[in-house]
Amino acid sequence: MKTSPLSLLALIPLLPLFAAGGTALMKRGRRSVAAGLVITAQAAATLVSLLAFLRTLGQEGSPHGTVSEIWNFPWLSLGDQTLSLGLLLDPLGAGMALMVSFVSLLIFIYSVGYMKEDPNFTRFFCFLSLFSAAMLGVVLSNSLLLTFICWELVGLASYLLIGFWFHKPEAAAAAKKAFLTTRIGDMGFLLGMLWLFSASGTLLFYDNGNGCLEQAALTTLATKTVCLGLAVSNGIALLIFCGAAGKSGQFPLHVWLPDAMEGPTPVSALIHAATMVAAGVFLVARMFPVFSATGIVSVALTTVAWIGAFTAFFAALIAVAQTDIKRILAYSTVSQLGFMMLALGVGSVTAAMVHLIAHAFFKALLFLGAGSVIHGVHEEQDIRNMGGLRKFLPVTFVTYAIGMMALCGVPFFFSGFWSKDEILHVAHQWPVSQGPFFLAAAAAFLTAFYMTRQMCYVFAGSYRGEAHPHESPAVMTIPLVLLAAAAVLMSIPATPAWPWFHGHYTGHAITLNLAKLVTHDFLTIAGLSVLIVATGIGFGYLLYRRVGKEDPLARFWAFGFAILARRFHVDELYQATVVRWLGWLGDLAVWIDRWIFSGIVRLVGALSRMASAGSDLFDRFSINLGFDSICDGLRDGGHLFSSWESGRVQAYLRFLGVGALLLLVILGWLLT
Amino acid sequence: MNTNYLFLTIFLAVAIIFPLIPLAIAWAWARLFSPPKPGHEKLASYECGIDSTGPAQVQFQSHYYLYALVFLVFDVETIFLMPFAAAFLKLEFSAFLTLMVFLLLLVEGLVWAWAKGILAWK
Amino acid sequence: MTNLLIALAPEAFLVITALVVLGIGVSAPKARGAITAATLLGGLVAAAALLLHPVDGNFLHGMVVLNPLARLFKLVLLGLGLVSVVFAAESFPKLHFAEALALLLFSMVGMMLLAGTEDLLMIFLALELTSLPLYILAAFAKESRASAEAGLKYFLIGSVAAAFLLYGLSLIYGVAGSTNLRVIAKLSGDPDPLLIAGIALTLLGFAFKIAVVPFQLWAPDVYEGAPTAAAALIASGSKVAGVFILTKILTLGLGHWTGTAGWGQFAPGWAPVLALMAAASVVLGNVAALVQSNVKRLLAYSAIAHGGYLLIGLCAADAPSLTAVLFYVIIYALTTAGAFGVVVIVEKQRGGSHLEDFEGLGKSSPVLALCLLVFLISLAGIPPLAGFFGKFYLFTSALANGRHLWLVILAVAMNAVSLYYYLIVLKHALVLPAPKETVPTAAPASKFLVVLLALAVLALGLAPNALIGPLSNGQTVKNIIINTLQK
Repeated sequence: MKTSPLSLLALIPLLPLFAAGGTALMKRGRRSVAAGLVITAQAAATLVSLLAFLRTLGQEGSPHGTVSEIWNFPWLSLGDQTLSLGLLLDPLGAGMALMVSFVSLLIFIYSVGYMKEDPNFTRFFCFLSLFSAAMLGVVLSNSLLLTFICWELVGLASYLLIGFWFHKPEAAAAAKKAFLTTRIGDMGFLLGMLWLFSASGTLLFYDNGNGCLEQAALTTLATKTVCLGLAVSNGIALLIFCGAAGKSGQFPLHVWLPDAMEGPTPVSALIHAATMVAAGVFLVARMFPVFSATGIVSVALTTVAWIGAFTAFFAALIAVAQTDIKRILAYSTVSQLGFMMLALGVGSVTAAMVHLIAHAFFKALLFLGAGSVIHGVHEEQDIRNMGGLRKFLPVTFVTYAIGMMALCGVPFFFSGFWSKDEILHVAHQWPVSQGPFFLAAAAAFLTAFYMTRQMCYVFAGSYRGEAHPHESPAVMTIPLVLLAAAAVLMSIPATPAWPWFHGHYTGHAITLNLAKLVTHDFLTIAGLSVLIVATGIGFGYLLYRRVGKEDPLARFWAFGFAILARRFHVDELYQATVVRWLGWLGDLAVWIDRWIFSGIVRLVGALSRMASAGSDLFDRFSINLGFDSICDGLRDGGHLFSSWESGRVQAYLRFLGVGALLLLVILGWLLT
Repeated sequence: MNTNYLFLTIFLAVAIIFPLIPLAIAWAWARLFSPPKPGHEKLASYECGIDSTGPAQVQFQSHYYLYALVFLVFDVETIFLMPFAAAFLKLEFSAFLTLMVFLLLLVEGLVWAWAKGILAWK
Repeated sequence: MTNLLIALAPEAFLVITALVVLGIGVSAPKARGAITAATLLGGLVAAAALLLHPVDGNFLHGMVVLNPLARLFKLVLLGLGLVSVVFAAESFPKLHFAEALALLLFSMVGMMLLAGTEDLLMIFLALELTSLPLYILAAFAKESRASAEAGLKYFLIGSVAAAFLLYGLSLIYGVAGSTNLRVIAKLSGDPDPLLIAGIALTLLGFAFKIAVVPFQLWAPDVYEGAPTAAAALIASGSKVAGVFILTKILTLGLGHWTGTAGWGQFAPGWAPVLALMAAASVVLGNVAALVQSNVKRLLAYSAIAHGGYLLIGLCAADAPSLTAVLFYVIIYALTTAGAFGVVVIVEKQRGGSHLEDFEGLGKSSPVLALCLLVFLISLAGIPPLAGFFGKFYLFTSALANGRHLWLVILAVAMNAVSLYYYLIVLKHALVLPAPKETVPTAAPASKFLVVLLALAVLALGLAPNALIGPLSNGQTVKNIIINTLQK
């Protein structure tokens, strides 16, 4: 293994991994030790990510373009071929790593307070740390194989965390659903990976010119075609997109994300807001060269864009009619992920990544705030039973409002505005179609609408519940404050006036140019955004200002609302089709197993029993009888020999004499 | 070799026949030449003219054998002493000591027998 | 002269001790403790004389020959004798106690002289010195008819055997012209018929001593009838002495006419005769023991069988098998002495030595039962006890060159049979419950010796080289073999 400073990159995923291992071996009672170990490891990983990030800075405008350092090591040797893995340090990965480790750190600290009463505290931290390690591995990997390995580990960790309270049947079912749904996507991922390996001969991303994301391989992939004229690169990209769609909850594999809210709130915050779901977006961003090998407008990217746009709109629609505080946020996540995929599909990696990082911060903030609310009203999650909480939970209210404004895209001071604006901008400029643009705009409107609805339901009006709400402890509110600050501060590097992110990712020079803010292009889209946001918030405020137990929209449009509330019946559709078909397959498999395979086993068993019965017969009748008769013979011999000891000396001497004579005769005969 | 064994065979034959001849002669004499002994008085054992009383079979005292044993031991000792005595003048002092040890061992045996009361007739 | 005295010092000390004991016995016949102490003291002095100032050499034209091997065997015989003395001290009849111990000492003197001689005359003398006291000791229990019968039978058959032996030895002398074994060894050429007769009669005489077919008939009656301590010495000491001197005669003196006993490779000599005797003893001893109900009689048949095993080793007549024979006879002697020791104690407790008298031994004296286990399992030849190694070396050396395969197969098969009767005794001792409560009679010294012997058997099993080393390195075994191998 080459020892370069880059090998220290391995520390970033390894530290949380060792912490997870250590915590796994601890006893249940050692809470502070577990928490301390995990948080320390994560802090250390954050520090190292910071150092790595710093290393990638300052290259904008230089002749190299972006920094891209690799550290590969051979992993598996099969004869002549060697499979290598590696770690990659580039702006894309470093930024993600810093974001993931920092947000994870804050959420770990938050969990200390949130999970205080839970008896399985240690196990929770073990799984958290495992997740963090795997996610960091995905982000820093230089090999599609290593990415896949860590990808699966992320899936495993999310399964363990969603089903943390496994004695609740809903949680167990949700965990299973999440795992299976993402697994379906991962099948595509695996097929894509195999195809890539066979087509290009390597799975390393960058390898001094030999990597699969480098020019030589890309040319090969783009020029080869399979059936229907589909280029190999596009085929691979589409398959990999399946995996990304599964992890990021794009339609039709979105069904697991809302159910995954059964897990504890820190889990939802970490996994389903900030990190894991972003892994799909990150994967497409990483594999972007393959996606765009045949050009910036390719079959793969077009598919990505349309699916992203549709998902954004679809999920936002459903979010309007939900009543669980976390489920609204879950659908909101799906919707925002659609935005990111849309950005990638229309060709702008930067816009997607900016939105991803910004979204990570404010979505984590919203989830943690929701957790604080739930904690404050003693585990109540239905928004219809909340209300007026701004009086009882002031810090939570303020930070939540900041997060909400960032999500909606309230202009200028909130990062969400700049990033969403950028996405609308590039979508508008897409040469293929304006459809995604309109869908995205509609989704933005709906986002503002349902977030306002949620804020009104939870914080406005008067309290409709039965518990005594109280503010959360400092260990929970301080991370909220920090994330809120980040949500605001992130807006600064995202403006076109100072396109720091843009420069950082693409290597262009970064200059402060306020003039950019007043270009025609910019003003049009920005104005549209502001209009959309204002309309949405206004509409929502009007409808839900004085909301009671019943939803005014339901009164207004009952039929539509019901469909939205039932999430377009997608789950029921899946249950009726896919699940039932799989059930039939399962029954068939059981039948084969019971009658054919165990039939063979039972046949072998019967044969063995027959053989043993035969052996037993043989043993009983031949061997035992034979042995017994030998023993009887010996006993008779014994009686015979001992009968020679008659006790009469005369007999003895006679015997002696005869024996002597015999001996003499034999000896004489032998010697002559 | 064979001639030596012939000598032995003849010797053996003579040795067997030699004692048999007087026995045969005695038997023949008793048969042919002994005077008749017809009556009770003629067959009676001589007791200086007195009639014998009691059975002629006197039961042997079995512990007479003890005296016989002790006698035998000392008789064999005497046999051993004779060649020693014959060669006494030519032997060195160590030979004398050896034989003294031998004698002493046997004397101790006698002492033991005496002390155990074997020599007292019961 | 002084060297001769030093060489004979152990025997001399034993004789003096015997005389002293007789003296004490005459003056204070009830002082059994003093008598025993005097005996043991004398024995220890003799042992010291044996160990501390050894002289090696050939005295009186081979009548007294000392070398490390001879000294080892003298020591072993001395030890066995002293063990019997202790057993006798605690179990012998009270009448004429001193005489009993003196007789034991005289017998030991004879055995030790046997171990250190190479002259035919001395052999016969020592043999008689060994046997005569044992005849008397066998008849020592005056109240027991069995004892008188045992003594008488032992004496009658022993005398006949001694007569055979003497006649055989004299015939050999007649042919060879000298009584020294080494001079006899120089004979060569075709065997004289006289020599044939002499060898045959010698073998007969020794067959009696070792108790092999066809001279084994005295063994069961004598072992059963004699007082157990005397039986212990008969079984252990005289067997060792007899085997040792037979080995010497056959390999040193008569090595030229060994012959072979391999199947299909019969070569005329004394080895085939020994092979036949061995085969018959092994079969008869083991099979007859199966139906015995008296433990002493059982041990007698076992002795016959073990005599057979030893003769198998003698048939092979090369260096490893002779080492194995000597090793095994010592092991066997220790084991048998220990077994008889257990019988002594059980007899004292229960008044008999039938299988029923051993019941419940595991509960009443577990230590004793454990020792019995060790002895009997060693006799059966089960690792890791010494008996296994003895049998193992015997059989492997007999199998070398594949000559005596038939004999070894027979022996191993019969050895398997023997496991039954050893285990029967152990079953009675360890498994079956005692029929009635018995008060254990104390026999502490015997118990201690029994445990010591068990430990010795165990130790020799774990480290057999401790004994094999001296036996095989000794120049003397090589000397014994040289004559054989040179011919």
